[in-house]
Amino acid sequence: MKVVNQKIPSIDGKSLMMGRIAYSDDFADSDSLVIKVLRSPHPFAKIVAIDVSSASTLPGVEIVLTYADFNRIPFTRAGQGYPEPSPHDKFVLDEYVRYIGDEVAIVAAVDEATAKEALKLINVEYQVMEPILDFETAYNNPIVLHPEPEIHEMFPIGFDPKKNVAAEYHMEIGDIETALKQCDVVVNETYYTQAQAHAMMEPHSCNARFDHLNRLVIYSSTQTPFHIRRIISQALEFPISRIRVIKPRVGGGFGGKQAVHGELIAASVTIRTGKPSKLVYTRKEVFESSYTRHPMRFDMRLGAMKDGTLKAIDCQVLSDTGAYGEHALTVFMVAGSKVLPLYNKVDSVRFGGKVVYTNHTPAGAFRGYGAIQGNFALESVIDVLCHKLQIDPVVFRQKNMMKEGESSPIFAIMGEGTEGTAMTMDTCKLDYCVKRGMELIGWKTKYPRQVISEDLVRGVGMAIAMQGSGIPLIDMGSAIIKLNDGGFYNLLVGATDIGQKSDTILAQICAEELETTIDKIIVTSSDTDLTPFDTGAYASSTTYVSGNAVVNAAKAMKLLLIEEAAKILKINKDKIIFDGSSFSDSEGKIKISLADLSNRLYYNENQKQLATTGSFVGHKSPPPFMAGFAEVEIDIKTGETSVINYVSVVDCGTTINPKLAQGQVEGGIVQGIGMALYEEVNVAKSGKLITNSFLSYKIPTRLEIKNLVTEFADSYEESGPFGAKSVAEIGIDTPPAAIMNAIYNAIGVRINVLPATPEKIWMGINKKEKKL
Amino acid sequence: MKIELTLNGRKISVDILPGEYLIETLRKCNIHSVRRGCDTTNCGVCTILLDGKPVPSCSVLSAQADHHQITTIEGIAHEAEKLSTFFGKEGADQCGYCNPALALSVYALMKENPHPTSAEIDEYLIGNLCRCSGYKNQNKAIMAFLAEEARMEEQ
Amino acid sequence: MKIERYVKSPSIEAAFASLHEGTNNKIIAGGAWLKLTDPTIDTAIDLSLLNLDFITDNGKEIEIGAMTTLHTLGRNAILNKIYDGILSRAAMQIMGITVRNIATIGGCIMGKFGFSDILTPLVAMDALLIFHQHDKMTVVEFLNTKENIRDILVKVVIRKANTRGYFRKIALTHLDFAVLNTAVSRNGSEFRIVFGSRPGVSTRAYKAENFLKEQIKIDEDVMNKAVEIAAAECQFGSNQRGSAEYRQSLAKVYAKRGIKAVTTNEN
Repeated sequence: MKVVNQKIPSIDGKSLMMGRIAYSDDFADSDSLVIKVLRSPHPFAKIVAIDVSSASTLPGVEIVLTYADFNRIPFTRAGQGYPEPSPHDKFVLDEYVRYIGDEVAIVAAVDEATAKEALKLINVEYQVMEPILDFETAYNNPIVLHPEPEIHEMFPIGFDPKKNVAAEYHMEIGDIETALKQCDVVVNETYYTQAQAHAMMEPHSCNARFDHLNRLVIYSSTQTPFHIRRIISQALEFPISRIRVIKPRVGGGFGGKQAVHGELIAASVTIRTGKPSKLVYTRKEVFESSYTRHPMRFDMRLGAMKDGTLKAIDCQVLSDTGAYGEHALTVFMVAGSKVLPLYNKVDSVRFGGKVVYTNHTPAGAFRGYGAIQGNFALESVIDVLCHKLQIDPVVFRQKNMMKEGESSPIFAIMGEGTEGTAMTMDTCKLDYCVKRGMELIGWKTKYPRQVISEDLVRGVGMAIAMQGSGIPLIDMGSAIIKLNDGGFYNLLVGATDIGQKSDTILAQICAEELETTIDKIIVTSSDTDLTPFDTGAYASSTTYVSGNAVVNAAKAMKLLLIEEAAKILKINKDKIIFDGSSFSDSEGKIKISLADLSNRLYYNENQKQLATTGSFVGHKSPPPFMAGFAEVEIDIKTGETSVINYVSVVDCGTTINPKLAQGQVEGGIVQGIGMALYEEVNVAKSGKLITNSFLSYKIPTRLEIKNLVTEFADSYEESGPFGAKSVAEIGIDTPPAAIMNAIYNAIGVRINVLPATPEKIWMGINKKEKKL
Repeated sequence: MKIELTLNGRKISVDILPGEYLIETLRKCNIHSVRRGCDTTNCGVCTILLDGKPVPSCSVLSAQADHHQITTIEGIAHEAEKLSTFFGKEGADQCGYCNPALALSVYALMKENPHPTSAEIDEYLIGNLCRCSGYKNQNKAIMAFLAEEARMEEQ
Repeated sequence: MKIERYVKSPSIEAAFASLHEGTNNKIIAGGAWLKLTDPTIDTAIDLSLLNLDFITDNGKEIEIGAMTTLHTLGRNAILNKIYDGILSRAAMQIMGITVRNIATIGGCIMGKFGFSDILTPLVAMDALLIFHQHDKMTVVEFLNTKENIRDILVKVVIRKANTRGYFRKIALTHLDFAVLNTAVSRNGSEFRIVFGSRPGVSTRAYKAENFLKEQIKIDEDVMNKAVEIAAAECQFGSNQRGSAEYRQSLAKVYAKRGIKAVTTNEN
C-alpha cells in the first residue's frame, strides 16, 4: 500500500497551526447579534413568573425569548440516528428547570456587554422544589423530575418517567444464580465512576444567518451536522429544506459535540429576528450546561473454578443521566455489550439495570461511551478474583479471554437500543497484544511491585479492552467523488472531522483506491448542502463506515474512468491498464494520461461530468482490541501517585495512518489517565457543580504524562477499508482498571470509586495499616 | 479610550473600553487566530506574545498593553509553518485549536532557551493544555523543530 | 467586572494619590487574578511605568521590585542561589508561562491569597516588605495584620546569609492550586517551618521552630517530635482539594523531609 498505512502529514495541520480562519466562531458574521442564556440557579424549580420587560427595552437588546415563546414540542438533543433510542424529554425552553445551568431565557443583543446586562434585568420568580442529587435515591422517589405529559420514547427503551427512569434493560444468558453456586470462588464488588467532563479546548460554538436564498445557514462545532439539521427542523417546525448546517474545523469533541448544544437557540433568534446571531459557550457553560460522562454504579459478581476458569459474570448497573435522557439507554448498554464479550467462555452472564433522572448536568456521549465505565468495573473485579485465586492476572486473562475466530452470544442479544448483530471475531489479536504488552512493560520482572525507597513503591497492572466500529445496520456513511479537469478529484463526504483528522485518512483511502497521491484528493466534508449523508463522528464509525463508503465510491470511479478511457483509446475496457495517472493497453503502446482524459471529457468530445457515489452501512461492527499496562509510582507516606509508564498494544486492523492512529490511542490513554487519577467532580450540597472551570477541574498536563509506549498488532480486517477497524475510542478504555490494578499490586489498596486521588489512596493505606 | 499597539510590526490605534481584554480587542481587529479556551488563564489557547513574552490575552487588559508590541501567529508565520511540518511528521496535530498558541509559546521558548531539555520543554509549555494529543508526539515534534532551528543557526 | 478609568501612573506619588482619591480605586499589578475577583473599579492604577521590575544584590540584601514577574523570579540567578533557590522554584510551579509572565510578586503578596505558592517561601525567608508610606513589615506580620493597608508595595527585601531552604508544592496536577505548600529554611540554628494553602494563608510553626533551635543534634527522633509539634500548632482546614486530616498528615511528612533536607547536604 502506497498511501494507506503511511505516515502522511494531516492535510489541514499546517493551516491550523498558522491560525487561518477555520473554527465556527471565525465564521460568525461581524454584525451578529450576541446571544447569552439566562441559566437556572436552582437544581429543580418551576418558573412561576418571568418578567422580561426591562431586559427587552434595554437599548441594544434585539429579542428576549422565554418558554412562552415556544410551542411545546418534546424532542431529544442526543444527535443520534432516527428514531432515536433516547427519550423525547426536552423542550427548547420549559417552565421547569431541572439542573443548575438549565436554560431559562435567551437574550440577543448588539454586543456581549449589553446581552449580559440584559440577563441581569430579567426577573424570574421560581417555585423552588426539592431536587434529587443522589442518583441512588432517584428510582421511585416521590419527587418526579419529568411529570410533563407530552414526553415519550420513540420505541421501547424501558422509559418510565413516573419512577424517574429514563431507560431500563435486562438480559441473562444461562442461569446466573445456578452458575455462581457451582463455582469454587465467588467475588462481589461495587464500583463507582464519575461525571467526567469532555474538556475539549474549543467551547461549544455556533452562529446563524439567512443567506441569499433566504435559507438558514448555521455554522456549528458539531459532530453530527445532518442530525442537527433534522432536529432543528423538528423542534422549531422549520422546513428542513431551508436549513443548511456547515461544520467547519472543530476544536475537539470526544462525544461532547454529538448532541445539540446552542444550535436551536441561535436558529430561534435568527428565524425570529431575521438577523445573524452567534452563541459561544463560556467555559463555565461548557462544564455546567453541556454534557458529562454518565456516572455509574456497578454491582459485580464473578464466579470461577480453582483452576482459573471463569464461569459466571453478573453485572448490574445504575446509571445517572442527569436532567435529561440523552444517550441514557445506549451508553448504559455499551457498558455491557462492549465489555462482557471479552470473557466469552462463561456458562452464564447477566447484565441489567436502570438509567435514572437526577438534577445534575445532563450526561451524554463521551469517548468510551459506557465501555470505559464497564471496563473499569469488570477489569478491576477480574483482578480481585485473580488475587483470591492466587493466579497471575495475565495468565488468567490469557486463559479466559476472547480469541480470534470465536464469538459471544452477547453480540446477537445486545445492540444499541435494539437487538444486536451476531458476529465472529474475524480479527482478534488480543493474544499478541497481551504478550507484547508484557514484554514492553517488563511484567515478569516488575509484577507485582518493586520497592524503590523507604517512601516509594512501584507497581504494574493491566487490563484488556474492546470497542466497536460503528453501529451495525444503523450508522451510514457516503461519499461522492468528482473528477476535475486537470485530472484531480473532489472527495465529498458527510463524515465529520472533529480533530481526529478523518478528512486526512479518508483522503488516504480514496488516493489508495484510485492509485494516486493525496494531493490529488480535495476533501470537502460536513456541509449538509454540498456533501452526501453521514450519521456523523461517533461510535468509532468514521474509518470503518465512512472509509468503506469512500472505497465504494472510488471503486466506482475507477470503473467509470476505465470505461471512458476505453472509448477514447478505442480498445476493450478489459484490456485497459490504469496506474492512477494514465491508461494504456497491455503493451503500453496506446496511452492517455488521466489529465488528458479529463480535459477531453470536459472540453473536447463526448462531454460529461464523471462523478460517483458510494455508500456503506455495516453488517457487523468488528471490535478493535487492546491490552493496556500501567506502571505506577506511589509515595506511601502521602498517597501521591503518578503513572510512570503506560504501554498500549492495539489491534485496530490496518492503521490507515500509523501516526494519526497513535495520536488517537495516546489521546485516549491520557483522557483515561485523567479519569483514573485527576478528574474529580465536585458537586455542592446545593447541586451546584463546583468543578466548573479549569481552575478546579483538572485534566492531565504534559508534566503528568511521563512515558507512553504505543504499538499496533499486525492485523487485517477483511470487512474494513484496506483492513482497518476503528481506533477512536479503544485507547480510553483501559487506564482506569489498569491503573487501579497497578495501585493494588503496588500497595495492596483497592480504589473502587474514581478518581483515585492521593487522599483516597492515603486513606486506603491508613486503613490497611490499622487492620494489620 | 484610545490605545496604540504595535501589532505584528504594524502600528495601530484602537478604541477600547478600560475594562476590555486583549483577546476581545484582537478579535475585533480581525485577528481570528487568537481564540477563547477557558477565560481563567489555565488553558493557554489565547496565548499571544507581549513584547516577545507569552501572555494570556484573556487576562491582560488592553489598556495595559498600550504602547507595547503584540505578536500573534501571523507575526511568526514563517516559524509556524516550519513547526507545522514537524507536527505533521509526528502526527502531533489533532484538532489544531490550541496550535497557534502553542507555536507562539514554542517560539518564545526558542528565543529564551534554544537548547531546552525535554523536561524544560514540559515546564515551559505546561500552561498549553491539549485534550487531543496525549502530549508526547507534540514534544517529539517540538524537540525536532528546535534541533533543526539550532542547526540552522549554527550554519 | 467593570473598570471606569485606566491610568498608567507616572510616579509612585501619583499612583498613591490616585489610590486615595476613591475607595473603589485599585492597583493593578499583573492583572492575572483580576477576573476571579470580578471587581468594580473606578480607577485602575497601573504601576508599569514606575521601574519596579528589578532584582538587585547589594551584598547584604537582595531587593526585589514589586512589579517583578514570577517568571523573572524563577529565572533569576541570584534567587536561584539563596535558600537553595526556593523562591525561584515556587515561582516556576505557578500555573503556566503565560501567567508567570504577567503575575507579579507584589500582586501575589498584596492579594494575601491562601493558595499563593510564593508566600510560603517568602515567609520562610523572613522577607521584608517596603511600602511607599507605611512602615516596613515582614511578610508574616503583613499576612497577620487586620489593618487594611492601602499603600503601594515598592519592594521585597531578603537578607543574605548562609541559608538552606526546602519547598514542596503538593497538588493534584502541576497546574492545580496546592493542597499544601511546605517550606523549611535554616539559617544556622534558626529554623523556619511554614505551611501554605492549608487552605488558609501561609503560617509559621513557631513552637516547632523553637524546639529545633534548642536541639544540639537534629536526629530522626527530634525531627519526628518537631513535626508533631508543627502539625499540632498550625490550623488545617478542609476544602475540595483536601481534608484537614490529609493536610495535617502531609504537613508532617513534608516538614520532616524539609528538615532533613536543610540539615543534610542533599536537597
